[in-house]
Amino acid sequence: MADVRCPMCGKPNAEEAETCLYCQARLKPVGPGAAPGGDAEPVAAGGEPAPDWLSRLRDQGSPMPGGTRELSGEPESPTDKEASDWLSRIRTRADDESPSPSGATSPAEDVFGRGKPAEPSGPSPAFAPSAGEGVPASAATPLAEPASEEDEPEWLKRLRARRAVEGTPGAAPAPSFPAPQATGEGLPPDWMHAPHEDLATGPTAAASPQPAGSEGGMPSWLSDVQPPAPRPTPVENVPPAAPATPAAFASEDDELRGAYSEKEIPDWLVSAREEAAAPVAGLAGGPEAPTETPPLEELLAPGVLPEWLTAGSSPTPPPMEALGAGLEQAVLPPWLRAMRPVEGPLAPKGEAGEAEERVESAGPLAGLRGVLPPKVEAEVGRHPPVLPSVLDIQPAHAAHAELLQRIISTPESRAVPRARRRPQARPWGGLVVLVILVAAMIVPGLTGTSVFARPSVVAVETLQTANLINSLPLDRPLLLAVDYDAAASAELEAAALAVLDHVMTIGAPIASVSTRPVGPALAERLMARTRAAHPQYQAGINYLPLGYLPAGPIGLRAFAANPWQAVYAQSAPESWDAGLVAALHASSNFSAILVVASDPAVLQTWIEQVHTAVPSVPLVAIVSAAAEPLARPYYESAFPSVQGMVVGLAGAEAYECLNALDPASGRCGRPGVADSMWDPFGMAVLGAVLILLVGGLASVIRRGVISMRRTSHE
Amino acid sequence: MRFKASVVVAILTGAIMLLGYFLPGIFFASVRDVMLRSGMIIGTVALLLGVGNLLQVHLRKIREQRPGHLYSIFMVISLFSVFAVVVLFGPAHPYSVWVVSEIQRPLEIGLMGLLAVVLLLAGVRLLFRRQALGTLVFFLTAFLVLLGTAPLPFISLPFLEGLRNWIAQVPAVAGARGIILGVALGATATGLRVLLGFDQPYER
Amino acid sequence: MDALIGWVALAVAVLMAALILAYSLTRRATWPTFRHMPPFDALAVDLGRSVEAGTRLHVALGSGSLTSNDSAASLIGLATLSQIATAGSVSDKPPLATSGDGAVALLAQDVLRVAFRQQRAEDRYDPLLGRVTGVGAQGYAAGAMHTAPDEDVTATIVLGAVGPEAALIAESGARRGTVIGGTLDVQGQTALYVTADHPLIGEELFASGAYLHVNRAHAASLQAQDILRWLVIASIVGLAVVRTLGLL
Repeated sequence: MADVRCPMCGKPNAEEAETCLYCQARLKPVGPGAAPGGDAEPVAAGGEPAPDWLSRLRDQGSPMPGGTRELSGEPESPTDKEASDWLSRIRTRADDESPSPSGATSPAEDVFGRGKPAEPSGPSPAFAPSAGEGVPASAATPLAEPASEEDEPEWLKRLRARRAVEGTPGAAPAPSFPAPQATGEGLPPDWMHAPHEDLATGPTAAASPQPAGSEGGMPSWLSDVQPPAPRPTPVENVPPAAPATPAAFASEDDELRGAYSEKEIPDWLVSAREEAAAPVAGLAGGPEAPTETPPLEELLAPGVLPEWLTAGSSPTPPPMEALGAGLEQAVLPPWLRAMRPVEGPLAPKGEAGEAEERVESAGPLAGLRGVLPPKVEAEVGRHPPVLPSVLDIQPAHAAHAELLQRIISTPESRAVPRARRRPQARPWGGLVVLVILVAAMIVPGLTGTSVFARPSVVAVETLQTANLINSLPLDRPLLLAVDYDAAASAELEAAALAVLDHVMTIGAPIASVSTRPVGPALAERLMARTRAAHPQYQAGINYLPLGYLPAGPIGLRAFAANPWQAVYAQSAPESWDAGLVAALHASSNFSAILVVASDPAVLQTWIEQVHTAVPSVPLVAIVSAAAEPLARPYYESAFPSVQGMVVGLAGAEAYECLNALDPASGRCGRPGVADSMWDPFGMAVLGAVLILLVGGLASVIRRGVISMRRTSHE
Repeated sequence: MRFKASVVVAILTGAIMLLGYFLPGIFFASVRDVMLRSGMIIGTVALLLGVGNLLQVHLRKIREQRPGHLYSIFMVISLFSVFAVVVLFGPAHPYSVWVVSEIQRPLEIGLMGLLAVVLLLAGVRLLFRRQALGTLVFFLTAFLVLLGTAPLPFISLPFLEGLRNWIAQVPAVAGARGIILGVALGATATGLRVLLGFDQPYER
Repeated sequence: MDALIGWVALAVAVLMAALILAYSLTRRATWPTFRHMPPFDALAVDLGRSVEAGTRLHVALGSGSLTSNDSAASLIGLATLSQIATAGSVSDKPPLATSGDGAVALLAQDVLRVAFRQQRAEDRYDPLLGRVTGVGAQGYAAGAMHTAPDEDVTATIVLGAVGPEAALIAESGARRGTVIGGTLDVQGQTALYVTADHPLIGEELFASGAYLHVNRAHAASLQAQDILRWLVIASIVGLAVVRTLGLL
């Protein structure tokens, strides 16, 4: 779907949008059959129901040649009042004076740059009929109602009286006002272009291209006030090609011609007419007929011109030569002269006329034709015309332009602030650290030495955990929460295995659950590693794998309410211990909760969601060393939520020692997983300490060197 | 404020859950149980959505032959293989446990080892990059805690262990508690913001 | 336990009242002034640089889900993403958000889509700008740490529920540009402290919405938190004094 650009804000809108989505400006003209794109069909062809007033106009004017309403004798419609009477009379008389052949160039169009033939292509304003349907209602008004004496302005009355006294040819019958033969929809309303177009052209509306060098871009009002051209207007000699003016028109024209003689016309009007007629002469090539132009002094005599036209103007304006005396001609600087186009920026043929005939498509003027001058139209946002000009470009300028083009088109050369990148870590830096750590861990295993002292003191929380496990009831399951990732299994499995070994030694049943997707597999791995020492723990007998508990805290809250329903919610396998399964219908039936977590937030969740629901069930935490600072407050609180803790590898080593403690000698008997990791762990930590120490020293040395350099520089 | 259905649902759900926590009556308990079960289902679906999105990303990478798309092919094959094993045999089956123990666990532990190397290097570089009092305190604390955690060969220094325990249990816990209090306030305010309809992250 | 629930209810009620009060005051007044925080200045600089240079920003939302305890971090990350995406959607390479949770990734996609729509650039929206790089903390980090080199990222913003594995993402991002990091996880904060250029410490993460002008509710929320924070401080000091004097 093609977008329609808003003429007010320039933003794209959907084609069918009535108003702009962004500025609410009207996108489509008010008139029927009008389209913003300017290519609307004529109203009649479009099949759109015409408004009442337009239907009446069609009924009244269509059968008449030329479409003028005065032919049918219909009374003037209220719309016709829009045209002022004096203007209508001027239009009528001018039309009579300068009939041009049909199909020839319309002088007024030449003057105002309207060379485009009238076509039913533009949007049709509300009052503009389509081609072939007659003239606009407003255009018919001055024809239907000849000017009456009462309606004349005062200055015209005085002028007429003066003519009558002087006996100038003013008693001829007023000329008829020939209606335009073809009124395209793109034409502006007649009250806009009547003073220029109708004055000179007469019945033709067919436009001709504007000759080069004419006033194509000049607005009408400016053309009107231009001084009269020296050459006479040859309009009388141009043979009319349009349909002959009816006799009724001719009589009326004669009357008007008599009422307003040539000498009564103000000079601005005469100049407009002459300007309009001049191209016609050029095209027709006929002999130039002299035009009776009253002298300027006569026209500027007091009382002839209206007050608004004479106000502020000097009765005897100084000649232009006198004004320009003493002024030097401006000299353009070389660089500006170099930029001047060799050929003038000519508007394409018909451009100005197109602008004049443009129908406003938005805003309060929507539907009106040619109400804005071409300049205004250009400001609305139309694409400027392609000027057929050739620039005289100096080589230096061309080189600069090429350089600019290259700068713009090359992204790398744009002046963009670059992101500060941290200097790449030297590859050997990480490699050295890795080698040190790996070597430290491998050496004890290769040499088989055990040089690191085991923990001499067992932490209180570890002892409390062992005591709690010793006191577990054997008729209720212990809940094992395997809530750590595989990444933390190396540290936590050692502690979990030590505690589970203790639990299995006393024979307490176990149920496992996890809020992590890999948790069930890790739980099974734990059970599998203890099964060699405790083969009685099989799934469904002393051990119930409850699987994965989704949704984190929400799942745990549901689990606290009814564990069985939260994780299983179906009948248990027949091989499972019915008593154990029955105990899982309430979280209070657990003998203890053993949470193995690498993340303190997970422990916090278990405390908040489960332990608060069953505070009577003790909770033991097996956490990593990194999680200790955040887990310890729950243990050390005045109302502890955690009744026992085993922290990291040190806690696992201590618990293993407790499990295999020889009471007689006071030594640790059977070594466990934590004991096998103790020496590599110790070596790796020492390696890390060494790296930090070296790094710290290097930093201090670097700072010292830098300060010394500064001192030496100073 | 223009209220939408999603806002009303969010406010009602939050209010019922909150009231169910503070007023554990029969009405709130039953409604809350329904919501909890629904939440669990949604959480599971979210997990599947994540897997689907991950698959989509890598399939596009393969289709567009982007750099590293061979890893994406391997990832897609692994995804479907593990999915098939777990669906066919169950999550606690020895096959599934083998996949986790022998593939995923070493991979994640290796990543943790890489993390240790990165943190160690970053700690050293911090001394060069950001020279401030805080950096010095940070570095010294890390050094002392590591030294106190490490078992020393042949000898035992209770002083270092005691210092490490003091650091871990007094200043670290105090700072952590302060942070947790602030975080709790912020989290509660965030939840209340959503609950009161001031913020609508679910519909913009 | 009932007493504990009572205290919790009281705290929630006070916070709610403060929030409503601050929100009503903030709606009528101008935007409140907060103290200077360099990470947010750096974020604005990185954002402008990304738009100017046509490079990408990577917003790491972490692996936390909306149903976990750290869902608040994910919500803050999404709010920040909305501001970043609104400004960065006009860039040649729009911001990229990664997550380890499907629901958060969906929300990230929605946030990005809305941002593109607001900027009239819906045709440039790609749903996979919000993506899951891996499920779980380690899986997410493994995928997210390759985002910076693969996607021509010049600034990495880690804002969300992420643990110590944030160091891997930050280190990878630091090789391509600047890193701004903030999380609620204390271990994650320590990791970001040493790896990020501009770490957010503690609950500073919650200030991001107010500093980035997400909406007035974020500013009001920050003011309410400040009120409650002072109340908590006063309570702690008061209880310590009372306990020291043996009155309790």
